[in-house]
Amino acid sequence: MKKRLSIVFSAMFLLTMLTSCNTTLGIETVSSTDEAVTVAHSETTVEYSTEEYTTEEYSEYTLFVSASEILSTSHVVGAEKVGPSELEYAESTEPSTRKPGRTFPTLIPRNSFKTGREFFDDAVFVGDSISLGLRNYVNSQRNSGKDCLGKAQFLVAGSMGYGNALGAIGSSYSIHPKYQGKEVLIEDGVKLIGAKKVFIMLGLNDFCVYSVETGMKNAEKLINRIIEKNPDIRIFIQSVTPVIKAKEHGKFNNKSIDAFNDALKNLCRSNGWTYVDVASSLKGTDNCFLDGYCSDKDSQGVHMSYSGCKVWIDLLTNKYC
Amino acid sequence: MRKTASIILIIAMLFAFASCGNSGEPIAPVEVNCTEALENIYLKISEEIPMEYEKFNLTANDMIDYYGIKANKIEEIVAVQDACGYKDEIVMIKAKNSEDAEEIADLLGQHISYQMDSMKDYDAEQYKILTSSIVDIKGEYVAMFISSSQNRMLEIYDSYFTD
Repeated sequence: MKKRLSIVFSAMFLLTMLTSCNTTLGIETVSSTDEAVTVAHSETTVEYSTEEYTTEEYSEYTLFVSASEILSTSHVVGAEKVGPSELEYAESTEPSTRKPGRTFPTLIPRNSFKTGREFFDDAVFVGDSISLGLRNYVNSQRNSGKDCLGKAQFLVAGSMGYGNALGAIGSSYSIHPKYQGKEVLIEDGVKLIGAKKVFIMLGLNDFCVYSVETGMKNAEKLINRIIEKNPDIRIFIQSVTPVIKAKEHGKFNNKSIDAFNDALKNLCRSNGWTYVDVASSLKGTDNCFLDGYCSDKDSQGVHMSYSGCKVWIDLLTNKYC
Repeated sequence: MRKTASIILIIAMLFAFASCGNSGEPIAPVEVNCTEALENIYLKISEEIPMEYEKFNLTANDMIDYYGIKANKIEEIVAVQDACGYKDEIVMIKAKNSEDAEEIADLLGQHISYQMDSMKDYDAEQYKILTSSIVDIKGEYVAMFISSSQNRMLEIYDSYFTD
């Protein structure tokens, strides 16, 4: 442990040699005794590059920990490249604000964590009809012998939203996914699958029905239910995807979707969840869903073609593998 | 005399009813004859009624996730969905036996009900299609067509079955 901490601090010193940006990071050190674990907090100023920083031995990554694990370089459960804007999430590192799935910035040896497609092996994708299309694309790739999102599974249902997924199974207003043919609450489905990461894309069936404030309350309630049933879960909230220009009408428009996504981003920030911006990769300069990625241009104008799904998959794969 | 005749008639009726009862032997399965492989039936359907969207061909192993149907109950299958995942669906299965076929038919019926619940406030056109969708079962063969052309699909499918 002491040797590893020494390595970490040595790497931090190396980082001061690069001078594009700097920020103050909270770095936690952990010591343990037979009786108790104490967490100390220290701050230091670190300079880092806005471009990907690599050395022969170290890369700048964010360390993920589960609620039940002590922050330690020996408990790496995943890693993600950290861009400058995401380091903002690191400001609050008080132990009392630690929440399940929270990310903490640190420096870890490159070879001490998994990267590659296996990142998604213990992931489940939760979503509405947009994700129904993703499931079909992923399975079509897998059935033709290609690796696609590892062994990730799906809990998806058309018209599902943060709001209607809160209802009891069988209630008139609720929508739930199926697991092996049986309707399940999302949190129960995640548990049955044994997933350790959940990628959620909901909201398309919420942003026109509820105010942004109510939408976020519903989202937070649903996600907390998932965490309560699955304490070791890591939460990734994917943005709502856009609509093509020709199908914008009334409140159903990209400006409203953007407002919902901004609120989701803030929700993630305040809870330590990871926000994944899928929408930006699918839009043109007019801030609308690109026609080429849309499979139902004559209908709702929101569902993805296989080429749209490929963009989505490439985004996730480049970000996490 | 009348009393004796009545008793004789009652006994005779009892024997008559007994002869109509179940002998305990299993009922012979309905025999159907399908003149083509399901894949060829699908080719015929898709030639006449091409899917509007990109297609996804499901395998027997996919059926548990999509419909709750176990792969070991399937002898032959063609299952296709559109890329959207909630519009057109074609499922044609030859089950291992009649019992499995009934179970599969039940699951597909549940799927239609589930889709109706999802679509009723979401996509009025798709909901209307689903209200007319049926599951067809002929012996070991089960089929479900969800499409604006589902009636014609069923006609083409039926044409490959003889008594």
